[in-house]
Amino acid sequence: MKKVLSFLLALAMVISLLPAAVADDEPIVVTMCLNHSSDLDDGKWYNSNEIKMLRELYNIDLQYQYYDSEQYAMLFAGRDFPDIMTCNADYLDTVRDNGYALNLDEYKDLLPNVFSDTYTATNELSRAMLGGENKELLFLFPCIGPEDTNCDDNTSWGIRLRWDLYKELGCPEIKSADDWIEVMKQMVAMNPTTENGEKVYGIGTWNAFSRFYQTGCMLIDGGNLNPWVYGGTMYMSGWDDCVLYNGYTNLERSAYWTAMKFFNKCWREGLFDEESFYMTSDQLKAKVRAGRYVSAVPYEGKELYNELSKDDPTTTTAIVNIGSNAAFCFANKPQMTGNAPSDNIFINKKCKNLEATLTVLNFFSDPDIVRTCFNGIKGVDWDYDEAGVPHLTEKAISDIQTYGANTDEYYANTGIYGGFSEWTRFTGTGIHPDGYTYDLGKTFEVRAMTLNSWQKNFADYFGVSCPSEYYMQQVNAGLVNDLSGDYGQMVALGITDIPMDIKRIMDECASIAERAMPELIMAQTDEEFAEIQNRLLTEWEEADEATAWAWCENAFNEAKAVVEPAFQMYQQSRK
Amino acid sequence: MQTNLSQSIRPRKKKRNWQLFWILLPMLILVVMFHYVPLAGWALSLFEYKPGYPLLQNKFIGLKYFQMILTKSTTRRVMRNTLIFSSLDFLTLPLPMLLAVLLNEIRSDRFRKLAQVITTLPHFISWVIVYSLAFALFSSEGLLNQLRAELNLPAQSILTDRNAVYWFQTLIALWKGLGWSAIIYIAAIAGIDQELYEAATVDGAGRFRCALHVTIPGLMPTFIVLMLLRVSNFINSGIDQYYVFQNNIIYNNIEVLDLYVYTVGLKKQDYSYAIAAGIMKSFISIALLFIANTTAKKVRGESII
Repeated sequence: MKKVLSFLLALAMVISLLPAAVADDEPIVVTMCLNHSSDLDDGKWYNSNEIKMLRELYNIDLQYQYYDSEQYAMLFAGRDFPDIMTCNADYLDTVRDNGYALNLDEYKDLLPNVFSDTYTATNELSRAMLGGENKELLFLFPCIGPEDTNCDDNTSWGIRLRWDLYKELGCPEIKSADDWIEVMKQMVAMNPTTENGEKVYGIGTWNAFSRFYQTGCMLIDGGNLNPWVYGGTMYMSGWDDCVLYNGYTNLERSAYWTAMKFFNKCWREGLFDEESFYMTSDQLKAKVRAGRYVSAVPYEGKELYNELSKDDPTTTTAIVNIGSNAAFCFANKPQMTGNAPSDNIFINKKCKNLEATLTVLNFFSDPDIVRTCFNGIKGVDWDYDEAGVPHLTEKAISDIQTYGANTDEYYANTGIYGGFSEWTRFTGTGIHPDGYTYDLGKTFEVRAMTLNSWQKNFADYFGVSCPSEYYMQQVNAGLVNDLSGDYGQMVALGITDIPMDIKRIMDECASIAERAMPELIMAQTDEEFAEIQNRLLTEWEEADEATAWAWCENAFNEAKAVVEPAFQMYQQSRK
Repeated sequence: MQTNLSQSIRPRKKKRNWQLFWILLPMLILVVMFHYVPLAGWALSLFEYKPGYPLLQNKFIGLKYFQMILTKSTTRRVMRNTLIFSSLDFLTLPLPMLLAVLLNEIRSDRFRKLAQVITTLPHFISWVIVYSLAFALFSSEGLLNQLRAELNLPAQSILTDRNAVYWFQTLIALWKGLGWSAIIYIAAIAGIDQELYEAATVDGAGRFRCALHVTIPGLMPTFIVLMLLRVSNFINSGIDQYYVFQNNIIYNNIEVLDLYVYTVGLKKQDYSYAIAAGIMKSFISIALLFIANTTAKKVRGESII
């Protein structure tokens, strides 16, 4: 009896180990690598309309696999990639040199959208800069621009202040960093403590190097620099002239020195929150929600309005861009090569199901699907009118009014603008073949219909339909710099292979800069500041920074010579 | 007769030894797989390795990284911090034993268990939570500074005080690990022959003398073993604690070797350099173990190797 029972149990085990028969309606799985944590939320991925459409139309289940930087490196060490790979600048040469990417030129029949006229220019750039000796089409660029041609109502850049207090002060003009500090002082004097008796500061950030120097980047005087060329280091190109500047030794134009001087002045005025040197991001957000700051560094500060508006939907207490010419306006970024070199897409040469993978790639390269990512289903959320002009439907506008634009509730209830937002082939303000922007919600008219309380208050104050119209008025009048002259990241595409020795020097210099921040910011006098500055210059010299700079500048200029003609043609075409 | 008996015992003993070996084998395989096979990765320190390239396609640079490690000023700073933290930790080595002795002297079972739970609980708290607690207590707006403000004293942030780094981190690590480390001593106390206590009591020894002359000597073998292991891990200070507490103000004082290897190897992706640092660390640890082992053997006649 025991033997019979044992036999039956063993048989059951063996049967359970056999691969299950695949049902006819079982979807084909295509895997995609994600290396942005913002895409992680399952609710924003599998709830997205485009992911559902892929399932319905092609019976393909697009599954994401997230890799942080360490796992990503292990992925390359093991060389077992998902079907669709995203790739940052550090690995472009590795992929090309080792033949990991599929040459898409050999599959034109299966990729009509990828090889359509819409992508001719960017495909050529990809071949020229990343295609190796044979100029193959190995990489595709996500988020091809132009980016933010209408700016953004809730932009993360610019001089951003508490709107309610700023209005109370009479909206004084801010033409420089000193003016910004002066206004913060006045605001803190008006509002020295929160309702709970906690001290209010002018500005604060969390313990991230980028938040400090990005503030310096955006200030026109001494800044106006693109931080994404040699990311994490102080070698940045001008947004206006695309010249590479050495932010360590060039004291006149440096994001680092501009930021340090600014925060040092804030510190001496008692405006800077000392906990910025060791707070985490969550701790900063908690303080923002509690109303502890009257201003914010780039990318921070939005939690204030989000928190207060839950209880009071009419509140105007929000940290917003006030449209000052002391900082650039994040608008009109050409972005001819999308988010490259930070983000690139390639197909794994050894993907499990090539036809399904290429179907996915072709699907997402369809201009109408790009619009679906931004605006929802054609015929339901947007459609063409009799004149052939695309519009959002009443339902779509009602959804934005109900849930708020680009909020979590909006994503959850509509399936729009979800997990694929970082990987669409075009940005929202890119131009669809029908001649209109991909994201129909970016127009002033639509924005005017979907303003929240602070945006409406802001728009009414300045007599415009929406805040972004005010920002663009400033730009179009030449009062505020935009980013239209920039092609630094395009140039950076040609500089991907940095030698380890140079990289090591760059990392060392960046570390020296980062660790010196507290000393510089908390310097009590100009003499003390200058003393620390001189010490740092010596430390960088000892770290052989000059060698790294010579290499980087040379590489930048060589790549720029290749890219500049294409950019100038692009500028001509836009006039 | 005895020869026949020993001959009959030998095959049974051999069979039992084989059985023990088979029981041990899975663990041996795991140890080999996860501790010895990865040593092949040491070869990466001889190349300028980049993930994605087959090893031999990378540039061979020999002992270049080892030379760099020995000459860089960063290495001196990092080793200084590591040695200071390890030395302070070494000085606190007797404290778990002392706690175990004190717990053993508690008459009330319930109170002893409560005390043991309270002292052991911090071990299970993640360092991230510990940092959050420390932030709430010791930051410039933390509870401590709020109390100081009430008493008209100036604010002082321990989390950004370079002079406080060494003793503060040691105290935090002690608070977190004391109860857990005492467990092994508590177990060792349970193994001390009770007749020794009876004999001491008969000789007129009170509780203090029993602890001094019976308990502590009974714990010494355990203490020596743990001390030897601690010496061999002298430059392995771990990363979790220093990673969460690091900030730019105190970085030069808190960066230990393990944190440095992590930053260089994983964050900056300079894998070969980090592996070279790890190799040097391993050799130093092995050397320290043998030195400590030899010393212990000569001094007390006890050793673990």
